[in-house]
Amino acid sequence: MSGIGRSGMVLALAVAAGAGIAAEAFRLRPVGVAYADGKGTALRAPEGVGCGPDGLLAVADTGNGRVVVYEVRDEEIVPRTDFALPELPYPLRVRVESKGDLLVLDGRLRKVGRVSARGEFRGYVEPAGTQGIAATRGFKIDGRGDVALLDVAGARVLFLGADGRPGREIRFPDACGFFSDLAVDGKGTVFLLDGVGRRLFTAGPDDKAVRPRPAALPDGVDFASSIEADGAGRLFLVDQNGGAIVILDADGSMLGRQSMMGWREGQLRYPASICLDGKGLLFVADRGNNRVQAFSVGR
Amino acid sequence: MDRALLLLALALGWPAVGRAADDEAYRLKPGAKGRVCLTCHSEFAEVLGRPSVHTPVKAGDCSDCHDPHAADHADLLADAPEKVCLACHGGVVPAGAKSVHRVVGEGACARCHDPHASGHPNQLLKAGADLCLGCHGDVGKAIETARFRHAPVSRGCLACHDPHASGTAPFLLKKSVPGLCVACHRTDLPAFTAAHLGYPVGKSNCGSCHDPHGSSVPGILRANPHAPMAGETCDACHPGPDAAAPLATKRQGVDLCRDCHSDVLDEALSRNRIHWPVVDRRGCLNCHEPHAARVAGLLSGAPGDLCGGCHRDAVERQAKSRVKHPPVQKGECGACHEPHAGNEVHLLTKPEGELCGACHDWARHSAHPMGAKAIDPRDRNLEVGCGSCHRSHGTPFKALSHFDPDRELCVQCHEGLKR
Repeated sequence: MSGIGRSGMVLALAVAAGAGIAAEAFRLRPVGVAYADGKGTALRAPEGVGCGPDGLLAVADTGNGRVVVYEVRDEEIVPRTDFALPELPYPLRVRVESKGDLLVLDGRLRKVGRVSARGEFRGYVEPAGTQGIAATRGFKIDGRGDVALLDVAGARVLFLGADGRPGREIRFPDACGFFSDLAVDGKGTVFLLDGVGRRLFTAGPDDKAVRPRPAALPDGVDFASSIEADGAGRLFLVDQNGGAIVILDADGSMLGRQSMMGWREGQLRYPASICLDGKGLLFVADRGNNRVQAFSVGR
Repeated sequence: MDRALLLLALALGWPAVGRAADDEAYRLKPGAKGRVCLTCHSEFAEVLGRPSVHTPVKAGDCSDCHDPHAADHADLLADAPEKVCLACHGGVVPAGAKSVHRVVGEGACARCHDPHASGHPNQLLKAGADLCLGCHGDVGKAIETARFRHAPVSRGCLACHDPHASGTAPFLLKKSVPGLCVACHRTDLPAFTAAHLGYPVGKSNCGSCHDPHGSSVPGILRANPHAPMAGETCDACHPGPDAAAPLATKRQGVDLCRDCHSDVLDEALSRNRIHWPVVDRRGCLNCHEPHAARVAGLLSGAPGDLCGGCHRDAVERQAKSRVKHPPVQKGECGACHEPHAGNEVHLLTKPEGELCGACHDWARHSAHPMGAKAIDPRDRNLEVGCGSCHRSHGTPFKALSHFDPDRELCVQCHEGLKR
C-alpha cells in the first residue's frame, strides 16, 4: 500500500484521443494507490470498491477471494483488516451501508451477503421465498438505505428494505441489450447501464419501468461495465476495455473521459468498478493492475 | 409568372417547362442534353442496343446524371452516386423500412445495376439468382448441396425477397413470417396439423425449425435439430398440444434447459464467474436456438458473429489491428474463452500464460524473463507476462504489441534505455 500526496503528485492523466473539448472540462487527478493489505499480501484482480462513513473503504479482492478494509485519512489509504468468508467465496462487488456493514456480491453464488466491517457474516440479502437460480448482476444502496438488486433472471430492479422486505420493483424493457450495472442517485432516480446496447435507461423515483435515454453512449466508450451517480447529477461510467472513466452530465453530455489503458499509476487496465466517497475522491478497482487507485474529482 | 400560369405549369409538368426555359436561357444546341455526347462517346451505340436501357439514357438525357462540364464526383456525376440514383428512385426504400439491403444503404446501386444498359431486365448485371449468389455464396452453396430444396428457390430469390428493402419484415422478406409462408402453405389442412404433432404453429416463426432455402433433413428442417424436436417429443419443453397455452414453455430461461442439460449448467453455475447472459431471462436462448439451427451446437450464428454481436469492441479492435490474431479472425472465440462460465478473468479457459503457451512457443521469448520472478517495473503487483507487451484482440502495431516494438515498447519498462 502506498499513499500519494496531492502536492507531490505530478503525474497528469492523459486525456484519451477523441474525447474532444468537453473532455477538458472535468478531470480526475491520481492521489493514491492501494497495493496490499496490512500484512503486505498483494491485491489480486480486485473488482469491487465501496466507500463508507468515516473514511471506510472496502475492496472486493476478487482474485484472492476476500474482502480488504481500509481507512482513508488525508488521502492516505491505510489497511485495517481483511477476511475471507466461506459464505462469500468470490467477492465481485462491495458497498458500505451507512452504519458501516458491508454488502458483498459473490460471483459464484450470484447473490449479495451482508457482513460487518470485521468480517462477521450476517446473512444474504434476498427476498424471502426466493427460488430458482440466483442471478444478481449488480446492486447499489439508495439514499434511504434500501438495497437495489439488478436481478437479470427476473428482468427487474428490486429494492429491498433493511428488514429484507421487497419494495419498489422496476421491470426491464423488452428491447434492450444487456444490463451490466445500475446506479441510484440521491433523488431515487435509477440508471441502468446497457453496455451491449451502448445506452442508458432511467426510471424516475415513482416509475415502474425504465425508458431509454435519447442519446447513445458517447463514441469511444469501448465496453462500459459499471456506473456510479454522484450527488450533483453526474454519472461516472467505467469503460472496462478502454481503460477509462467517462463522466456524463444529467442530460447525457460528456463532461470528460479520463485516464487511459496502461500500467503506470494514474492509468487503468480493465477497471471493474468505482465508488465515490462524497468528499471529492473516486476509487477505482483497477483489476488488470492488481490494485485500487484513488483520484480527486474536479475541474 | 402569375398564379394561373404557375398552376398550369405544374399541371403540365414543371420539369418540361423548366427544361425548355433552361435550353433557351443557356442557348443550348439541339441535343445538347445528351445526343451531342454521343458524337464523342460513340461506344454508346452498342450500349443503346442492349435489351434493357435506362430511361434517361434512352431519352438521350445524359445530363440528368452527369455534369457536362466538371464535377466533384467520378465519371462527371452530378452528385454522389447514391444521390444521383435516389433523385428518381427514392421510393425503393420505404419509410420506416424494417430491413434494407446493405448495398442499397451504402448507395452502391452499381453493384447490381448497370447505370446505362444491360442484357437483363432493370439493367441488372446478371440474371435472376446468379446476381444475388455472387455475394450470397454461402446461401448458394447451401442450396446446391441440399437434398431437399424449397420449391420457390427455383423461381429465384425475388419469390420471397425484395431486392432493395422491406417495409414490413427482416431479411428483405416481402412479408413477415409466417404470413409469407402461409400464403402457400395452408395451415388448416389435416396434413399440416399432423406434421406438427397437433401443435397450433400456424402463427409461429417457421424459420425456427425450417430452413427456408432447403436442407438435407426431410421437411427442410434446419441441419442441426434439437433432440426433442427431432425425436418428436415437444412435450419435453412445452405442455401438450391440447393445453391451454400449448406453445408456452414449462419453465423460463435456464431453468427449463437445466432439466436435460444439468451437466453443462451445474458445472457452469459452480464456477466463480458466469457469463451473465446464461442466467438472464432469455438464458440459453441468448446464443442457442431452441428448435433447430444451421450451426452446430444449436448456435444462433457462427461463433464469431454471435459473440461479436455483444462484444463489438473486440471485433472492431481486431478489424483495425495491423496484425490479426488467427483465433479472433476465424471467429474461434472458444479457443480462449469459456462460453458459459469459468474461473479466470475475461472467462479465459486457462491462466493467461498457460493459455498463450498452448499455441505460442515459449522458447522464442526465453531471452526475456517472465513469470513470478519477473516483476513489472511499472506495477509491483504484476508479473511480466504475455499481456505486458501484447493485446490479443489487436493493436495498431506489429506482433499485437501495445506500443511500437521498434521505438516505444521496450522503454515502457527499460526507461534508462530511452534516447
